[in-house]
Order: sequence, then C-alpha cells, then structure tokens
Amino acid sequence: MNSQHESMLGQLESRSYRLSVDHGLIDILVGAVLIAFGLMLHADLDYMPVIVFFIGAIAYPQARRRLIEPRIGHVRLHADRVARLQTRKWLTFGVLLIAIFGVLALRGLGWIDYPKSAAPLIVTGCFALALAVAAWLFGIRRGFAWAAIVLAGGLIEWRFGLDYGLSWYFSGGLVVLAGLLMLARFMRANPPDTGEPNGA
Amino acid sequence: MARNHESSAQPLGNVDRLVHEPARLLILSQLYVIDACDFLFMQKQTGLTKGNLSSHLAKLEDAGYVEIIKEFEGKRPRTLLQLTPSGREAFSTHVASLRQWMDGVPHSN
Repeated sequence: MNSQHESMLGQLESRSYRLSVDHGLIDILVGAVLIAFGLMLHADLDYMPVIVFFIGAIAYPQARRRLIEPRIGHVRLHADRVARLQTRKWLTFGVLLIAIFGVLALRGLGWIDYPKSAAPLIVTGCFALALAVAAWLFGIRRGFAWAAIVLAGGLIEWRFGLDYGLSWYFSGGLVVLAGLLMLARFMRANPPDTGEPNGA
Repeated sequence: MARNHESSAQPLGNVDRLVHEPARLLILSQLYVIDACDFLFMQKQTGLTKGNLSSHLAKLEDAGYVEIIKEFEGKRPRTLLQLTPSGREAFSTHVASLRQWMDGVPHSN
C-alpha cells in the first residue's frame, strides 16, 4: 500500500484510538492522583497515592463500561498498537520514577544540592515532566496543559512560600473539573444507544 | 487507441465490487486498522444507520470477509465484528488495484 493510503488508514486508526480516550475519565483520574499527592505532601497522608491508584485501577474500567461504552461502543485495538501503548505506559512510569527518585537519590548522595524551599518546584517539575512525556507518547495534547498547570502550581507555591503540597490540590482540582466538563460534554454529544445493544 | 483504453481499464474490471461499494469499503477500512469492534462503535465511526450497516455487514459476512464473534465479558454478551484473513486480503488487493488504476494519472495542479 502506498504512503497516502497508509496515512489515511493511520488517521482512521488514530481516530478510533482518540474516540476511546477523549471522554474525560482519564483527566478525572489524573486530577485525583494529583490531589492524592497533595494529601501525601501537605497532610502527610503517605498512603493516599496508593489508595487512589487502586481505586482508579478498579473504578476506571467500571466507569468506562457503564458510561462510555453504551455511548460509543467497544473497540479492541490491534495487538501491536496495544503492545506499543503498554511500552509507553511503562516508559512514562519509568520517567516519573527516575525523575522523582533520581533527584532525591542524587541529593541524598550529595551530588546535587538545592535548598529545601525549592522542593515544591523540583517535585512538581518532575511530575510535570512525566505528564508531558505521557502526553507526547499517548498523543493526548491536553496533557501538556495539565503539565503546565502542575508546574505553575509549584512555581506559585515556591514563589509565595505557601504550605508544601498545597498547590497539588489546586492543580488536581482544576484537572478534575476539566475532566468532569469534558465528560459532561461527551455524554451530551453521545447519548446512550437505545436500540438493540449490538444491532445483531 | 481503443486497445490502449481496454488494457488500461482491465485493472478496474477486476475490482471486487463487493469491496468497492463506498459504505462497505468504509467498514472494511475501519476493521483493517483495529482488531475488533462492536456494532455501535462501527455505527459511530461510519455514520451509517443501523439497518444500512446490518445489511452491508450481512453481505460482507456472506462473502467471508467479516466474522461476527459472540463473546461474554463477565455475564454480559458482546457481539464483535472482525476482519477475516480473506477479508484482509480482499481489502489489500482492492487498494492495490485502485492504485494500479490511478498510477500515471497526471496531477491536476
């Protein structure tokens, strides 16, 4: 097949993929994770990110099944696309771990040094980097906006000497709100199918 | 001259008319780029009405190009549409035929 046909088919595949991710649920989950980090850093509830992670892992597929699939149907992407997405997920996770724990380890070893007051900026910067990498790898452009919001929150927290971790509530709340608005718009634009479930 | 015309028309004469129909071509293109999808997803992607989509799918299934798979997710039944190997081959052959037909056509601009 020539490149033009391949690019048209590529667009069709991308559209199928985007339809399965552009509904706001992912944004709500990302926002919840940000708020959980806020609870960990600000309120010393260290277990919150783990709890949110497990709740998300259970609730996300359920919410997808109940809210999204009755509206747009179900799609199973090609095995190679799924494998690519899995690799990208692990890559994002790796970037996040290296960014956060790498900086902490280097500081522990005394290889780099920064004042404690700069911690909000460093941690939000690392998280924003991982979000931006994820946005790039998964082709979800609004992820860059979430990264910018997280970084802006860290900057504000650092510049005005706010309580450590406070900015995460602000950025997480904004992302959750955007996700909810997106979900509401998606649900309005795609009413549930009322006829035969599969038409077959 | 007429002979040339005949020989150049040959590739289009071989085109699989079952695949060539626009709605069915759209269905096959969609199934070509994914593993499987349900009826509703296909309807959303193609913009066809239920009756129209059902009728085209029936023709593609009769030709052995599309397989309709019934499976369960938990207790919930799900009907998925998937391209068969012969459907995949028919689609690729069709695209190759069209390309052969279009090759050598001068660009308008």
